Amino acid sequence: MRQVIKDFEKYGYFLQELIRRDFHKKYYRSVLGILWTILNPLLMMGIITIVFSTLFERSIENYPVYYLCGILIFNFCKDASMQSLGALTANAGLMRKIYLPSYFFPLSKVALSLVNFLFSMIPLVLVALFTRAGLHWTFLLFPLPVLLAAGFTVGLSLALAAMAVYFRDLNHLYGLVTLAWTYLTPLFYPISIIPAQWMLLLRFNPMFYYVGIFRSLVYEGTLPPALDWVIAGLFSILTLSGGCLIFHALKKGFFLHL
Amino acid sequence: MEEAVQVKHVWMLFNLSRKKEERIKEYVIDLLKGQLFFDRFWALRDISFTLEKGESFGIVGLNGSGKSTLLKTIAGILEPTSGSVAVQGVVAPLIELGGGFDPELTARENIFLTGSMHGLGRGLIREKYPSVIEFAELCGFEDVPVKNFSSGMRSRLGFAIATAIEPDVLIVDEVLSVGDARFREKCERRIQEIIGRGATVLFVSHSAGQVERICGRALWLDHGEMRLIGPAQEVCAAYQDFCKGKG
Repeated sequence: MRQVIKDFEKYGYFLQELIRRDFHKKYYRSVLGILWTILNPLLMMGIITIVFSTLFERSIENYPVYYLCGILIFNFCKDASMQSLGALTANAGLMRKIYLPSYFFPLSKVALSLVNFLFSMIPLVLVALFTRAGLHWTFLLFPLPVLLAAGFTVGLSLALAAMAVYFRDLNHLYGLVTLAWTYLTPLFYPISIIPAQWMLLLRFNPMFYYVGIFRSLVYEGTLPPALDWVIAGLFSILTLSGGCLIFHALKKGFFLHL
Repeated sequence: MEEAVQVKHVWMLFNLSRKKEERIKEYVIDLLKGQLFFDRFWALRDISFTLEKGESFGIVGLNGSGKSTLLKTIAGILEPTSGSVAVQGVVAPLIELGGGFDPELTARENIFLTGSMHGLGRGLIREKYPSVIEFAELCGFEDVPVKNFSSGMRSRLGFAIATAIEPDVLIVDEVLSVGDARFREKCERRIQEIIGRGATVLFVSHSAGQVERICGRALWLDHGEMRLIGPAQEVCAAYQDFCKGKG
Protein backbone atom coordinates (compact mmCIF):
# COMPACT_ATOMS: atom_id res chain seq x y z
CA MET A 1 0.00 0.00 0.00
CA ARG A 2 2.82 2.36 0.86
CA GLN A 3 4.45 1.43 -2.43
CA VAL A 4 1.28 2.43 -4.26
CA ILE A 5 1.28 5.88 -2.67
CA LYS A 6 4.94 6.27 -3.56
CA ASP A 7 4.25 5.21 -7.14
CA PHE A 8 1.50 7.78 -7.47
CA GLU A 9 3.72 10.51 -6.08
CA LYS A 10 6.56 9.79 -8.43
CA TYR A 11 4.73 8.53 -11.50
CA GLY A 12 1.42 10.36 -11.25
CA TYR A 13 2.38 12.58 -14.13
CA PHE A 14 3.30 9.48 -16.14
CA LEU A 15 -0.24 8.16 -15.66
CA GLN A 16 -1.62 11.45 -16.94
CA GLU A 17 0.64 11.29 -19.97
CA LEU A 18 -0.43 7.70 -20.68
CA ILE A 19 -4.08 8.65 -20.66
CA ARG A 20 -3.41 11.70 -22.78
CA ARG A 21 -1.44 9.67 -25.30
CA ASP A 22 -4.23 7.13 -25.77
CA PHE A 23 -6.85 9.83 -25.98
CA HIS A 24 -4.84 11.73 -28.52
CA LYS A 25 -4.24 8.65 -30.65
CA LYS A 26 -7.85 7.66 -30.57
CA TYR A 27 -9.22 10.95 -31.80
CA TYR A 28 -6.47 13.00 -33.31
CA ARG A 29 -6.42 11.40 -36.71
CA SER A 30 -10.15 11.26 -37.32
CA VAL A 31 -11.97 14.15 -38.93
CA LEU A 32 -14.73 14.29 -36.38
CA GLY A 33 -12.34 13.77 -33.49
CA ILE A 34 -13.95 13.80 -30.12
CA LEU A 35 -17.38 14.18 -31.68
CA TRP A 36 -17.24 10.42 -32.24
CA THR A 37 -17.63 9.74 -28.53
CA ILE A 38 -20.88 11.65 -28.70
CA LEU A 39 -22.06 10.46 -32.10
CA ASN A 40 -21.27 6.79 -31.59
CA PRO A 41 -23.80 6.15 -28.80
CA LEU A 42 -26.40 8.20 -30.67
CA LEU A 43 -26.00 6.13 -33.84
CA MET A 44 -26.00 2.87 -31.86
CA MET A 45 -29.12 4.05 -30.09
CA GLY A 46 -30.74 4.82 -33.42
CA ILE A 47 -30.09 1.33 -34.76
CA ILE A 48 -31.09 -0.53 -31.62
CA THR A 49 -34.20 1.61 -31.19
CA ILE A 50 -35.32 0.86 -34.74
CA VAL A 51 -34.71 -2.85 -34.28
CA PHE A 52 -36.10 -3.43 -30.81
CA SER A 53 -38.40 -0.60 -29.80
CA THR A 54 -41.49 -2.02 -31.51
CA LEU A 55 -40.78 -5.37 -29.88
CA PHE A 56 -40.75 -3.92 -26.39
CA GLU A 57 -43.06 -0.99 -27.05
CA ARG A 58 -45.51 -1.88 -24.36
CA SER A 59 -43.09 -2.66 -21.55
CA ILE A 60 -40.60 0.15 -22.06
CA GLU A 61 -41.59 3.72 -22.49
CA ASN A 62 -38.98 5.99 -23.97
CA TYR A 63 -36.86 3.16 -25.30
CA PRO A 64 -33.88 5.35 -26.39
CA VAL A 65 -33.19 6.58 -22.85
CA TYR A 66 -33.71 3.11 -21.39
CA TYR A 67 -31.22 1.66 -23.82
CA LEU A 68 -28.62 4.43 -23.49
CA CYS A 69 -28.59 4.22 -19.70
CA GLY A 70 -27.75 0.54 -19.83
CA ILE A 71 -25.34 0.43 -22.71
CA LEU A 72 -23.22 3.41 -21.66
CA ILE A 73 -22.33 2.04 -18.28
CA PHE A 74 -21.96 -1.47 -19.66
CA ASN A 75 -19.67 -0.31 -22.46
CA PHE A 76 -17.52 1.60 -20.01
CA CYS A 77 -16.77 -1.63 -18.19
CA LYS A 78 -16.49 -3.74 -21.35
CA ASP A 79 -14.20 -1.34 -23.23
CA ALA A 80 -11.93 -0.79 -20.25
CA SER A 81 -11.50 -4.50 -19.54
CA MET A 82 -11.07 -5.38 -23.22
CA GLN A 83 -8.34 -2.80 -23.68
CA SER A 84 -6.67 -3.76 -20.44
CA LEU A 85 -6.19 -7.26 -21.80
CA GLY A 86 -3.53 -5.98 -24.14
CA ALA A 87 -2.25 -3.16 -21.97
CA LEU A 88 0.78 -4.98 -20.57
CA THR A 89 1.77 -6.94 -23.65
CA ALA A 90 1.61 -3.80 -25.79
CA ASN A 91 4.07 -2.07 -23.48
CA ALA A 92 6.33 -5.08 -23.01
CA GLY A 93 9.26 -3.37 -24.71
CA LEU A 94 9.04 -0.48 -22.34
CA MET A 95 8.68 -2.58 -19.22
CA ARG A 96 11.80 -4.51 -20.11
CA LYS A 97 13.88 -1.36 -20.16
CA ILE A 98 12.75 0.81 -17.33
CA TYR A 99 11.05 0.35 -14.00
CA LEU A 100 7.45 1.52 -14.17
CA PRO A 101 4.53 0.63 -11.94
CA SER A 102 3.01 -1.93 -14.30
CA TYR A 103 -0.53 -1.62 -12.97
CA PHE A 104 -0.61 1.90 -14.39
CA PHE A 105 -1.07 0.49 -17.88
CA PRO A 106 -4.45 -1.19 -17.24
CA LEU A 107 -5.36 1.67 -14.92
CA SER A 108 -4.86 4.19 -17.71
CA LYS A 109 -7.23 2.20 -19.93
CA VAL A 110 -9.92 2.32 -17.26
CA ALA A 111 -9.39 6.05 -16.83
CA LEU A 112 -9.63 6.59 -20.58
CA SER A 113 -12.86 4.62 -20.77
CA LEU A 114 -14.20 6.63 -17.86
CA VAL A 115 -13.44 9.87 -19.71
CA ASN A 116 -15.23 8.47 -22.76
CA PHE A 117 -18.17 7.53 -20.59
CA LEU A 118 -18.41 11.05 -19.18
CA PHE A 119 -18.41 12.49 -22.69
CA SER A 120 -21.15 10.09 -23.70
CA MET A 121 -23.29 11.41 -20.85
CA ILE A 122 -23.82 14.43 -23.12
CA PRO A 123 -25.88 12.54 -25.72
CA LEU A 124 -27.78 10.81 -22.91
CA VAL A 125 -28.82 14.15 -21.43
CA LEU A 126 -29.64 15.53 -24.88
CA VAL A 127 -31.83 12.56 -25.74
CA ALA A 128 -33.56 12.71 -22.38
CA LEU A 129 -34.38 16.37 -22.92
CA PHE A 130 -35.28 15.94 -26.58
CA THR A 131 -37.70 13.09 -25.95
CA ARG A 132 -39.39 15.21 -23.27
CA ALA A 133 -38.55 12.59 -20.68
CA GLY A 134 -36.76 15.27 -18.73
CA LEU A 135 -34.37 14.71 -15.87
CA HIS A 136 -35.21 14.06 -12.25
CA TRP A 137 -33.34 15.29 -9.22
CA THR A 138 -32.03 11.77 -8.73
CA PHE A 139 -29.94 12.35 -11.84
CA LEU A 140 -27.53 14.23 -9.62
CA LEU A 141 -26.67 10.96 -7.86
CA PHE A 142 -25.44 9.31 -11.08
CA PRO A 143 -21.73 9.47 -10.09
CA LEU A 144 -22.38 6.93 -7.31
CA PRO A 145 -23.19 3.90 -9.49
CA VAL A 146 -20.45 5.02 -11.89
CA LEU A 147 -17.98 4.99 -9.02
CA LEU A 148 -19.10 1.52 -7.97
CA ALA A 149 -18.84 0.27 -11.54
CA ALA A 150 -15.40 1.86 -11.81
CA GLY A 151 -14.17 -0.01 -8.73
CA PHE A 152 -15.44 -3.26 -10.21
CA THR A 153 -13.87 -2.42 -13.57
CA VAL A 154 -10.47 -1.63 -12.09
CA GLY A 155 -10.41 -4.98 -10.30
CA LEU A 156 -11.52 -6.88 -13.37
CA SER A 157 -9.06 -5.05 -15.63
CA LEU A 158 -6.10 -5.67 -13.33
CA ALA A 159 -6.86 -9.38 -13.16
CA LEU A 160 -7.37 -9.69 -16.92
CA ALA A 161 -4.27 -7.67 -17.80
CA ALA A 162 -2.10 -9.83 -15.55
CA MET A 163 -3.54 -13.11 -16.81
CA ALA A 164 -3.21 -12.02 -20.44
CA VAL A 165 0.57 -11.91 -19.94
CA TYR A 166 0.53 -15.64 -19.29
CA PHE A 167 -2.14 -16.59 -21.76
CA ARG A 168 -2.07 -14.65 -24.97
CA ASP A 169 -5.28 -16.14 -26.30
CA LEU A 170 -7.29 -14.87 -23.37
CA ASN A 171 -8.69 -12.09 -25.55
CA HIS A 172 -10.48 -14.59 -27.80
CA LEU A 173 -12.06 -16.23 -24.80
CA TYR A 174 -12.94 -12.92 -23.22
CA GLY A 175 -14.57 -11.74 -26.44
CA LEU A 176 -17.02 -14.64 -26.08
CA VAL A 177 -17.52 -13.95 -22.39
CA THR A 178 -18.46 -10.33 -23.05
CA LEU A 179 -20.87 -11.44 -25.77
CA ALA A 180 -22.67 -13.69 -23.31
CA TRP A 181 -22.45 -10.95 -20.73
CA THR A 182 -24.15 -8.47 -23.08
CA TYR A 183 -27.15 -10.78 -23.35
CA LEU A 184 -27.20 -11.64 -19.66
CA THR A 185 -27.54 -7.99 -18.75
CA PRO A 186 -30.88 -6.31 -19.40
CA LEU A 187 -29.52 -3.72 -21.81
CA PHE A 188 -31.97 -3.70 -24.67
CA TYR A 189 -34.75 -5.82 -23.22
CA PRO A 190 -36.92 -5.16 -20.15
CA ILE A 191 -36.21 -7.08 -16.95
CA SER A 192 -39.82 -8.29 -16.98
CA ILE A 193 -39.21 -10.70 -19.88
CA ILE A 194 -36.71 -12.76 -17.91
CA PRO A 195 -38.20 -16.09 -16.75
CA ALA A 196 -38.19 -16.47 -12.98
CA GLN A 197 -35.74 -19.39 -12.95
CA TRP A 198 -33.15 -17.33 -14.81
CA MET A 199 -33.54 -14.35 -12.56
CA LEU A 200 -31.26 -16.00 -10.01
CA LEU A 201 -28.45 -16.16 -12.56
CA LEU A 202 -28.81 -12.48 -13.28
CA ARG A 203 -28.48 -11.73 -9.61
CA PHE A 204 -24.89 -12.98 -9.80
CA ASN A 205 -24.12 -10.51 -12.54
CA PRO A 206 -22.57 -7.35 -11.02
CA MET A 207 -23.47 -5.39 -14.13
CA PHE A 208 -27.13 -6.09 -13.38
CA TYR A 209 -26.85 -3.89 -10.28
CA TYR A 210 -24.74 -1.09 -11.74
CA VAL A 211 -27.04 -0.79 -14.74
CA GLY A 212 -30.10 -1.14 -12.52
CA ILE A 213 -29.06 1.59 -10.09
CA PHE A 214 -27.93 3.92 -12.84
CA ARG A 215 -31.17 3.40 -14.70
CA SER A 216 -33.42 4.00 -11.75
CA LEU A 217 -31.60 7.25 -10.96
CA VAL A 218 -31.46 8.60 -14.51
CA TYR A 219 -34.34 6.94 -16.33
CA GLU A 220 -36.98 6.26 -13.71
CA GLY A 221 -36.12 9.04 -11.31
CA THR A 222 -36.48 6.81 -8.27
CA LEU A 223 -34.05 5.79 -5.56
CA PRO A 224 -33.00 2.17 -5.90
CA PRO A 225 -33.63 -0.12 -2.90
CA ALA A 226 -30.96 -0.19 -0.22
CA LEU A 227 -30.26 -3.87 -0.80
CA ASP A 228 -29.20 -3.15 -4.39
CA TRP A 229 -26.70 -0.58 -3.16
CA VAL A 230 -25.27 -3.03 -0.66
CA ILE A 231 -24.90 -5.85 -3.17
CA ALA A 232 -23.42 -3.53 -5.78
CA GLY A 233 -20.95 -2.19 -3.23
CA LEU A 234 -19.96 -5.70 -2.17
CA PHE A 235 -19.35 -6.74 -5.78
CA SER A 236 -17.15 -3.68 -6.28
CA ILE A 237 -15.06 -4.17 -3.15
CA LEU A 238 -14.62 -7.91 -3.70
CA THR A 239 -13.67 -7.56 -7.36
CA LEU A 240 -11.35 -4.66 -6.68
CA SER A 241 -9.45 -6.43 -3.91
CA GLY A 242 -9.46 -9.73 -5.81
CA GLY A 243 -8.05 -8.01 -8.88
CA CYS A 244 -5.30 -6.34 -6.86
CA LEU A 245 -4.35 -9.65 -5.25
CA ILE A 246 -4.25 -11.50 -8.56
CA PHE A 247 -2.18 -8.76 -10.17
CA HIS A 248 0.24 -8.72 -7.28
CA ALA A 249 0.63 -12.50 -7.30
CA LEU A 250 1.26 -12.68 -11.05
CA LYS A 251 3.49 -9.59 -11.23
CA LYS A 252 6.66 -11.48 -10.38
CA GLY A 253 6.54 -13.59 -13.48
CA PHE A 254 5.74 -10.79 -15.91
CA PHE A 255 9.28 -10.30 -16.98
CA LEU A 256 9.76 -13.89 -18.10
CA HIS A 257 6.56 -13.97 -20.07
CA LEU A 258 6.48 -10.57 -21.71
CA MET B 1 33.17 7.53 0.46
CA GLU B 2 29.47 6.84 0.27
CA GLU B 3 28.12 3.75 -1.40
CA ALA B 4 25.87 4.35 -4.39
CA VAL B 5 25.17 0.79 -5.47
CA GLN B 6 25.54 -2.34 -3.44
CA VAL B 7 25.07 -5.73 -5.09
CA LYS B 8 25.20 -8.63 -2.67
CA HIS B 9 25.34 -12.27 -3.73
CA VAL B 10 22.83 -11.87 -6.52
CA TRP B 11 21.58 -15.04 -8.17
CA MET B 12 19.05 -14.92 -10.96
CA LEU B 13 17.18 -17.98 -12.13
CA PHE B 14 15.24 -18.01 -15.38
CA ASN B 15 12.50 -20.50 -16.10
CA LEU B 16 12.45 -20.58 -19.82
CA SER B 17 9.36 -22.08 -21.25
CA ARG B 18 10.13 -23.93 -24.46
CA LYS B 19 7.20 -22.34 -26.15
CA LYS B 20 7.39 -18.87 -27.54
CA GLU B 21 3.91 -17.79 -26.68
CA GLU B 22 1.72 -19.34 -24.07
CA ARG B 23 -1.86 -20.02 -24.80
CA ILE B 24 -4.60 -21.50 -22.69
CA LYS B 25 -5.20 -24.10 -25.37
CA GLU B 26 -1.60 -25.29 -25.31
CA TYR B 27 -1.44 -25.13 -21.55
CA VAL B 28 -4.41 -27.44 -21.23
CA ILE B 29 -2.99 -29.83 -23.85
CA ASP B 30 0.40 -29.91 -22.10
CA LEU B 31 -1.23 -30.39 -18.75
CA LEU B 32 -3.14 -33.40 -20.07
CA LYS B 33 0.00 -34.83 -21.63
CA GLY B 34 1.88 -34.18 -18.40
CA GLN B 35 4.47 -32.11 -20.21
CA LEU B 36 4.63 -28.93 -18.24
CA PHE B 37 8.38 -28.47 -18.32
CA PHE B 38 10.57 -25.48 -18.09
CA ASP B 39 14.21 -25.10 -18.95
CA ARG B 40 15.97 -23.57 -16.01
CA PHE B 41 19.16 -21.70 -16.14
CA TRP B 42 21.09 -19.34 -13.95
CA ALA B 43 21.57 -16.02 -15.68
CA LEU B 44 23.56 -14.60 -12.77
CA ARG B 45 25.60 -16.59 -10.26
CA ASP B 46 26.67 -15.01 -7.03
CA ILE B 47 27.42 -11.49 -8.20
CA SER B 48 28.70 -9.10 -5.52
CA PHE B 49 30.26 -5.69 -5.81
CA THR B 50 29.97 -2.20 -4.39
CA LEU B 51 30.13 1.08 -6.26
CA GLU B 52 31.03 4.30 -4.58
CA LYS B 53 29.41 7.60 -5.35
CA GLY B 54 30.97 9.25 -8.39
CA GLU B 55 32.51 6.07 -9.67
CA SER B 56 32.21 4.95 -13.27
CA PHE B 57 32.03 1.22 -13.62
CA GLY B 58 32.16 -0.81 -16.81
CA ILE B 59 30.76 -4.25 -17.49
CA VAL B 60 32.16 -6.27 -20.37
CA GLY B 61 31.35 -9.74 -21.57
CA LEU B 62 30.14 -11.72 -24.56
CA ASN B 63 26.54 -11.79 -25.68
CA GLY B 64 24.44 -13.73 -23.21
CA SER B 65 26.89 -13.38 -20.36
CA GLY B 66 24.30 -11.67 -18.16
CA LYS B 67 25.30 -8.02 -18.57
CA SER B 68 21.83 -6.75 -19.33
CA THR B 69 20.25 -8.96 -16.68
CA LEU B 70 22.60 -7.49 -14.11
CA LEU B 71 21.76 -3.95 -15.18
CA LYS B 72 18.07 -4.75 -15.00
CA THR B 73 18.34 -5.95 -11.43
CA ILE B 74 20.11 -2.71 -10.56
CA ALA B 75 17.49 -0.64 -12.39
CA GLY B 76 14.78 -2.37 -10.36
CA ILE B 77 13.12 -3.97 -13.38
CA LEU B 78 14.02 -7.47 -12.23
CA GLU B 79 14.01 -8.85 -8.74
CA PRO B 80 16.92 -11.21 -8.08
CA THR B 81 16.03 -14.80 -7.18
CA SER B 82 18.27 -14.48 -4.17
CA GLY B 83 20.64 -11.84 -2.87
CA SER B 84 19.98 -8.14 -2.69
CA VAL B 85 20.55 -4.93 -4.59
CA ALA B 86 20.57 -1.57 -2.84
CA VAL B 87 20.73 1.70 -4.74
CA GLN B 88 20.98 5.18 -3.24
CA GLY B 89 19.11 7.85 -5.16
CA VAL B 90 17.51 8.04 -8.58
CA VAL B 91 18.46 5.47 -11.20
CA ALA B 92 18.06 6.39 -14.84
CA PRO B 93 18.41 3.67 -17.43
CA LEU B 94 19.30 4.95 -20.85
CA ILE B 95 16.71 3.43 -23.11
CA GLU B 96 18.64 2.24 -26.10
CA LEU B 97 17.78 3.73 -29.45
CA GLY B 98 14.93 5.65 -27.89
CA GLY B 99 13.02 2.40 -27.47
CA GLY B 100 10.55 4.06 -25.16
CA PHE B 101 9.29 6.44 -27.78
CA ASP B 102 5.86 6.36 -29.22
CA PRO B 103 6.36 6.71 -32.97
CA GLU B 104 3.01 8.41 -33.51
CA LEU B 105 3.80 11.25 -31.15
CA THR B 106 5.98 14.24 -31.91
CA ALA B 107 9.41 14.85 -30.45
CA ARG B 108 7.94 17.36 -28.02
CA GLU B 109 5.26 14.96 -26.79
CA ASN B 110 7.79 12.17 -26.50
CA ILE B 111 10.06 14.28 -24.35
CA PHE B 112 7.20 14.81 -21.92
CA LEU B 113 6.14 11.15 -22.05
CA THR B 114 9.66 9.78 -21.60
CA GLY B 115 10.44 12.33 -18.90
CA SER B 116 7.34 11.22 -17.02
CA MET B 117 8.50 7.60 -17.25
CA HIS B 118 11.63 8.63 -15.43
CA GLY B 119 9.43 10.04 -12.70
CA LEU B 120 9.76 13.73 -13.55
CA GLY B 121 6.87 16.16 -13.19
CA ARG B 122 5.55 18.41 -15.92
CA GLY B 123 7.18 21.56 -14.55
CA LEU B 124 10.63 20.02 -14.35
CA ILE B 125 10.41 18.63 -17.87
CA ARG B 126 9.33 22.00 -19.21
CA GLU B 127 12.36 23.54 -17.56
CA LYS B 128 14.74 21.06 -19.16
CA TYR B 129 13.02 20.96 -22.51
CA PRO B 130 15.14 23.57 -24.37
CA SER B 131 18.42 21.96 -23.34
CA VAL B 132 17.20 18.53 -24.46
CA ILE B 133 16.23 19.80 -27.90
CA GLU B 134 19.49 21.63 -28.20
CA PHE B 135 21.62 18.67 -27.20
CA ALA B 136 19.74 16.31 -29.50
CA GLU B 137 20.21 18.86 -32.33
CA LEU B 138 16.55 18.71 -33.18
CA CYS B 139 15.66 22.41 -33.37
CA GLY B 140 12.95 22.77 -35.99
CA PHE B 141 11.90 19.12 -35.73
CA GLU B 142 10.08 19.45 -32.44
CA ASP B 143 6.61 18.92 -33.87
CA VAL B 144 7.50 16.11 -36.26
CA PRO B 145 6.23 12.64 -35.29
CA VAL B 146 9.12 10.47 -34.17
CA LYS B 147 8.27 7.80 -36.75
CA ASN B 148 9.62 10.17 -39.40
CA PHE B 149 12.97 10.51 -37.61
CA SER B 150 16.12 8.75 -38.70
CA SER B 151 17.53 6.22 -36.25
CA GLY B 152 20.33 8.66 -35.46
CA MET B 153 17.87 11.41 -34.57
CA ARG B 154 15.96 8.99 -32.39
CA SER B 155 18.95 7.81 -30.42
CA ARG B 156 20.15 11.39 -29.98
CA LEU B 157 16.81 12.29 -28.51
CA GLY B 158 16.85 9.24 -26.23
CA PHE B 159 20.30 10.07 -24.96
CA ALA B 160 19.46 13.73 -24.46
CA ILE B 161 16.40 12.92 -22.36
CA ALA B 162 18.03 10.32 -20.12
CA THR B 163 21.02 12.51 -19.37
CA ALA B 164 18.90 15.59 -18.73
CA ILE B 165 17.39 13.91 -15.69
CA GLU B 166 20.57 14.39 -13.66
CA PRO B 167 20.29 10.96 -12.06
CA ASP B 168 22.36 9.70 -9.16
CA VAL B 169 23.04 6.48 -11.00
CA LEU B 170 23.08 6.45 -14.79
CA ILE B 171 22.88 3.12 -16.59
CA VAL B 172 24.24 3.13 -20.11
CA ASP B 173 23.59 -0.06 -22.05
CA GLU B 174 25.22 -0.22 -25.48
CA VAL B 175 23.71 3.09 -26.49
CA LEU B 176 26.96 4.62 -27.53
CA SER B 177 27.29 2.22 -30.41
CA VAL B 178 24.82 4.27 -32.42
CA GLY B 179 25.01 7.63 -34.11
CA ASP B 180 27.89 9.08 -36.04
CA ALA B 181 31.38 9.48 -34.62
CA ARG B 182 30.89 13.15 -33.83
CA PHE B 183 27.76 12.55 -31.79
CA ARG B 184 29.36 9.58 -30.08
CA GLU B 185 32.12 11.86 -28.89
CA LYS B 186 29.58 14.38 -27.69
CA CYS B 187 27.85 11.63 -25.71
CA GLU B 188 31.09 10.50 -24.15
CA ARG B 189 31.79 14.07 -23.09
CA ARG B 190 28.31 14.29 -21.60
CA ILE B 191 28.89 11.12 -19.60
CA GLN B 192 32.20 12.49 -18.33
CA GLU B 193 30.34 15.63 -17.28
CA ILE B 194 27.77 13.56 -15.40
CA ILE B 195 30.55 11.66 -13.66
CA GLY B 196 32.21 14.98 -12.84
CA ARG B 197 28.95 16.13 -11.24
CA GLY B 198 29.29 13.27 -8.77
CA ALA B 199 26.92 10.74 -10.29
CA THR B 200 27.68 7.05 -10.55
CA VAL B 201 27.75 5.60 -14.04
CA LEU B 202 27.27 1.96 -14.97
CA PHE B 203 28.42 1.36 -18.47
CA VAL B 204 27.95 -1.73 -20.62
CA SER B 205 29.64 -2.16 -23.94
CA HIS B 206 31.04 -4.68 -26.36
CA SER B 207 33.78 -2.22 -27.06
CA ALA B 208 36.54 -2.66 -24.49
CA GLY B 209 38.11 0.55 -25.78
CA GLN B 210 35.14 2.66 -24.75
CA VAL B 211 35.03 1.06 -21.32
CA GLU B 212 38.71 1.80 -20.85
CA ARG B 213 38.26 5.45 -21.81
CA ILE B 214 35.22 6.13 -19.65
CA CYS B 215 35.48 3.82 -16.65
CA GLY B 216 37.76 3.57 -13.68
CA ARG B 217 36.86 0.03 -12.73
CA ALA B 218 35.36 -2.81 -14.67
CA LEU B 219 33.79 -6.23 -14.30
CA TRP B 220 34.08 -9.09 -16.78
CA LEU B 221 31.06 -11.36 -16.79
CA ASP B 222 31.26 -14.82 -18.26
CA HIS B 223 28.18 -17.10 -18.34
CA GLY B 224 26.67 -15.22 -15.45
CA GLU B 225 29.76 -15.47 -13.27
CA MET B 226 32.26 -12.84 -12.25
CA ARG B 227 35.41 -13.67 -14.15
CA LEU B 228 37.47 -10.66 -13.18
CA ILE B 229 36.91 -7.38 -11.39
CA GLY B 230 39.40 -4.56 -10.99
CA PRO B 231 40.89 -1.54 -12.74
CA ALA B 232 39.30 -1.02 -16.14
CA GLN B 233 42.58 -1.29 -18.05
CA GLU B 234 43.47 -4.66 -16.57
CA VAL B 235 40.03 -6.16 -17.01
CA CYS B 236 39.69 -4.88 -20.57
CA ALA B 237 43.10 -6.17 -21.53
CA ALA B 238 42.32 -9.63 -20.16
CA TYR B 239 38.93 -9.60 -21.88
CA GLN B 240 40.44 -8.60 -25.20
CA ASP B 241 43.04 -11.34 -24.95
CA PHE B 242 40.27 -13.81 -24.24
CA CYS B 243 38.26 -12.63 -27.26
CA LYS B 244 41.31 -12.87 -29.54
CA GLY B 245 42.00 -16.34 -28.26
CA LYS B 246 38.45 -17.36 -29.11
CA GLY B 247 38.38 -15.68 -32.48
